[in-house]
Amino acid sequence: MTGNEAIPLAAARAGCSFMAAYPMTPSTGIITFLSKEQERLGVFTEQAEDEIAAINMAIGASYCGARAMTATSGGGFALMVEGLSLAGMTETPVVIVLAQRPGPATGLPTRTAQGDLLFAISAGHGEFPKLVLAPADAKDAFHQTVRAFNLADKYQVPVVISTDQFLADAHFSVGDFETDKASPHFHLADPSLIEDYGRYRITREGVSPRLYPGQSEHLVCVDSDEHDEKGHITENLAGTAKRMLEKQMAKDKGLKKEVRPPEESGLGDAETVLIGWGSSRGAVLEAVDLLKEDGKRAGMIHFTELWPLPEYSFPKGKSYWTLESNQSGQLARLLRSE
Amino acid sequence: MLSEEDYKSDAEIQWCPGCPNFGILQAFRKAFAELEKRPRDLCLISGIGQAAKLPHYVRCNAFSGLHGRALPVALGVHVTNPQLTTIVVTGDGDCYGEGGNHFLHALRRNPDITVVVHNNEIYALTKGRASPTTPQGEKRTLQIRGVDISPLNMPALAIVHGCTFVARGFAGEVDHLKDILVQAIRHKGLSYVDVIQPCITWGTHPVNWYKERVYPLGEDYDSADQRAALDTAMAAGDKTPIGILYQGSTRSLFAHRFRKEVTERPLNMLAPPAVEKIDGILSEFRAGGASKDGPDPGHRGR
Repeated sequence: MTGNEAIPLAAARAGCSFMAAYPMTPSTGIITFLSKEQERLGVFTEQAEDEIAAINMAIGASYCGARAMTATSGGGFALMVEGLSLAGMTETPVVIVLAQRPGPATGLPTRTAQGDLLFAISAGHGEFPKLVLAPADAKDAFHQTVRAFNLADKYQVPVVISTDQFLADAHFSVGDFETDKASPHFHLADPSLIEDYGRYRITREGVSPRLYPGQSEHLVCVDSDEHDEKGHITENLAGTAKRMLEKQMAKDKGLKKEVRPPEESGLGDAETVLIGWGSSRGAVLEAVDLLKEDGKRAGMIHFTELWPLPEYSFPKGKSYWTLESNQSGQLARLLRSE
Repeated sequence: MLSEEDYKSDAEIQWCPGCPNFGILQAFRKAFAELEKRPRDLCLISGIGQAAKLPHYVRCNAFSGLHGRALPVALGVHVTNPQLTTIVVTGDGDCYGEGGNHFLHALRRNPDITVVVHNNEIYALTKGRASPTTPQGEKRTLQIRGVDISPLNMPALAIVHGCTFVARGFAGEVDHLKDILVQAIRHKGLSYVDVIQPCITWGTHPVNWYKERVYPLGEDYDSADQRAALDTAMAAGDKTPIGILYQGSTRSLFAHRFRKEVTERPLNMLAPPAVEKIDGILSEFRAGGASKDGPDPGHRGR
């Protein structure tokens, strides 16, 4: 099974019922799969006129209570970035698959790369919480996709699932997907428990009770401008705007507790440690084996959850190298700076 | 019985006193009352601009998104729950400029929503630059020598691309506009209303100048004649007709095939497939199961 087959199947499992996308190699297989399986999986799919439409359609569907996603590659993601910011500001859950290929611009459309890590993590003007996951293989992609929808819903944030052409198109052998361990968990509020509804009611953890239009007599008002608890535009900088910013930062704290630490392999007596992320897990493990054959004491650390960066201390006294398919060592830069 | 009062919201209105937008707001509230729409069943979606503030001034569900991007959000909302009355409230800059591509493709899709464009031939929120409908030669705050390119004619474009409800209203004729909105909302398919909305602060002409130049299409006008409607939309001259330019027979609605073959229910009511169903599909990938295609064919580069 390829990554582009595991991800849409998992999305359906997670309760996704809407996908809009503009075709872009190597992500197109995801919407194609859902479109073909429309009768069995019940997901509405639409080829958007451009990537800006795709992300905004997904946000509209999500605002209206459906779990929604889109998928693209670097250039398309670039067009979606304002939409990402919209999801952040309006606190609308949305899942975006970024299937990397070499850039910049049109780049090498049919090849693989891991060159958009820092772009994905920092994408979206303004400051807002987001989650960036980077599955290692088809089975991991399945589980991470279900997780992505659950966390997007729980924290009301955009979630980027970063894959690449290799993960998208390669055929992985999986013994048991353990699908029963990947279950959807829904976090919408109960309208009967709410008296006077404001979409952005301030809470200690930063997550407001979320309702959707048409669900009940409560009206849901949302704005891309800075807004008050009722969702109306505000220019009250010292009061309302500051409280809304603190609310978003509180959500960030919650997300930080959810991210899992990287996987460790053979660190115990290793002198040399190779660090990888995303789909390179197999290759890094193989490199560790080759080093061991050469008589070196080697181990691996592998990240599949990149943002917020998980809390992790690197054991001292070892030599650390990142192994990644990009020119400037983006994971290394990220680890050094955080 | 619902009245205009039932659609007043508690948000403070941030338009210039005397702005013709108040006329459009009144027309909306009257239309909703006449249609007996419950606020909970209304979803007004806007982008950015003076027009875009309107959803906040109506008691309803509201989504004010990014500049130019109201239409795709509305499509997502509408497909998810077709039982909501989804209305896009936008402006000439938001809809024909920044959002032009989405308007074009909405004409292809024919979703059952209503698009109301506050056409003031200017970018009023940001103090007076030209818009895609500013007449050639008129001066604006950036176009100080006069606009040097021709304006768009979106009603004509809509008719050419088979939009089955194309109308023009005037913010200064509230009851006339209210009637258009009632018909537009009732219409099955994309209904598009371009509203002449003079900007009294930054615009070139006062409201009376427009009042003298609009005339309502009469009883003798056949709105079912598409070619005649196109001629009307393209006619040059001093006078501008207002009313329903074209109302055609139904085309198939957006998402009709999904609705017929998969489910009529709103997408937010669908339960996720059970584990057994997912496992069933996974088993087809097992060696010896149904053969699958290799990596996605076609789509080489972009």
